[in-house]
Amino acid sequence: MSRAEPLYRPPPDVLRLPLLGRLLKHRRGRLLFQIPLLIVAALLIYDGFTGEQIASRNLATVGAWVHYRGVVILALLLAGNLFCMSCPFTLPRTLAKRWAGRGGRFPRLLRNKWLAIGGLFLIFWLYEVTDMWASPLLTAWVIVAYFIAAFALELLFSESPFCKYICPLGAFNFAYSTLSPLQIGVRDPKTCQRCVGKECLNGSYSPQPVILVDQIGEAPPIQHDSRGVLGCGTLLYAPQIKSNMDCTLCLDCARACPHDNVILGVRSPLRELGAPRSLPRRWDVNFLLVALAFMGIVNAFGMVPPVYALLREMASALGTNAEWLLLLIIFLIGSLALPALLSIGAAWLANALTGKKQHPRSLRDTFAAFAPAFVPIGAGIWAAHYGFHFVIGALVIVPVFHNFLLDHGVTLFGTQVNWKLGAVIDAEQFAVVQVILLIGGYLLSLILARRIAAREFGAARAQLAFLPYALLFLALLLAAFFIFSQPMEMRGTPELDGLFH
Amino acid sequence: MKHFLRVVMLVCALSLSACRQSAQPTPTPDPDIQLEWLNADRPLRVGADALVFTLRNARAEPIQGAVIEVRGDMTHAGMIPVDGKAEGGTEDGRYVVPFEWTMGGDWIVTVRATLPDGRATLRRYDVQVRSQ
Repeated sequence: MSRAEPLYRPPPDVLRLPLLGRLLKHRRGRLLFQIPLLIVAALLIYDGFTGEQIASRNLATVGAWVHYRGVVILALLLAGNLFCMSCPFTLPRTLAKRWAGRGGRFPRLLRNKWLAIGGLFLIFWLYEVTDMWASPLLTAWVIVAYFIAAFALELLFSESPFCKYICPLGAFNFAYSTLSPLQIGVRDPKTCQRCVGKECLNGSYSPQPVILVDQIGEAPPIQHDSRGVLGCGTLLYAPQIKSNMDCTLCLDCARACPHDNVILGVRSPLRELGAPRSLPRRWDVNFLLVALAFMGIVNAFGMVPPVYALLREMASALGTNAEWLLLLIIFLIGSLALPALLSIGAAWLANALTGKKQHPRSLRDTFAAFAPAFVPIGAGIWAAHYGFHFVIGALVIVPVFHNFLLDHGVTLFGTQVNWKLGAVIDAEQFAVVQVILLIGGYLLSLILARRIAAREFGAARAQLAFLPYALLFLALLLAAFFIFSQPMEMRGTPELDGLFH
Repeated sequence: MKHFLRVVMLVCALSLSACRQSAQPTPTPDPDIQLEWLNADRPLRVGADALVFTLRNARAEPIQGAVIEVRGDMTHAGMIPVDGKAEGGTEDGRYVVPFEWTMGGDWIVTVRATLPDGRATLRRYDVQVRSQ
């Protein structure tokens, strides 16, 4: 290595881009993204409560179940956690923080992802049981519940427990942002070592200037606004960030840093997932990654004809027509029990096939090492599902909004609604994209698992460790192919009556 | 002043909901018009279909010359509604509406019958369409 070559080369920084960088780092930068989404959320709530209770004609259901889901997965794969960055639920939360001052910390027992996993399970199950997609009113209540939960938790606790430990949308976004091409980092790690204030974490809202013992010279200047800037809400320390997990991309760290040392770096999408220990080796964090891939399968399974056959068989075997119970069993098995059993089973098998009897490898270490490999295949499944709804219904928002305006006497765009607007591309053409997404995700998962196996078990035993995961990913791919090759049947009736005719 | 502005905004928001009116006003069901979907109780499948309705008055006499408009909405957001229409009807008050079920799943079928004298009635049916 030549002497001129630095040991650490920071990646290209989005915050250095001429216009976008200034906008993102602006004191009110986040607000510029949040306010439009707050207005959208208010519109969805309003139309959900007062509009026509037909899902395909109401802004609440179209906005939440077609556009939000489609755009969020696209944004995660192409840029990063843009929804959490623009999250409108955190606006009243900020108000609560100002009112409450510094509350207590979230209970230690709950400082993990189990609540978020439970929340994801609950929302996917309730989505099916209550036919949430078919009810504008219920959708509006869910949005209201999000605002209330974010506000109440911020009022009670000092950190942001709603974002970090509870929010199911956030948990989904955190999990798949590990595949995103953007990540918070630092320009020069040595600057952070010398920094006393750690404003990226603590915030710079002290009315008194923060005393710095390090000499940073005149440039870049330290600018401590007397009104201050919040530090990281989810308590991440910028120079130590190795993962997008828990990063809401709020950029408060970049705004708070007096050394202008925080960057929004461009990275390879597989860098984080392939790097050792980029995620903590905890059961909860890693199970979130595994379970989401299975939840993607179960969520899509709820909308294809074989679910009827399964429900009928289960109803007959258990002697009950209670749909909530039958769906609960399907979701418990498919979203929690199967991922736990199969991924822990694969870890055990990998250990058994490769392990030394004298020094057995910990099951948790193997489970956690391979869990990131579930992210690409999971993302492929979700993108194939949500992408389908988005492309076949993206333009429906135009007539739905037009109809909304007409309901309020606004005839600016004419008095006739053109309901024919709908698909961006034909549903059958999107089948090709679905296949590409599924196979792409599967291949990336295989590549990652192979790399992880070589890293964790050595070249000689890598194949044996890789084998159980290769089989598991193949099973997931085949299940996804089976579901996505079925004709779509969008259920929306609360009873099973129709199944037994 | 700030407090006043908040109150004004709240009142505006609440009054907005009171101003809401439907773009397509719902007619009051006329007890003198009996609208019935004759072939609703059969298994519905994706594809072209013909929906048969009868229109009678309170004395069960067939009504001719009316317009029957059918609108099918899927219960899932993002799906394009399907429209169908029949005019005139037969002597026995039957109206056959050509209709296409574009996707399997649950549908809300809204049927609006408008008589030659301008009176109208509306009925809603929740049906399930199988894709196979």
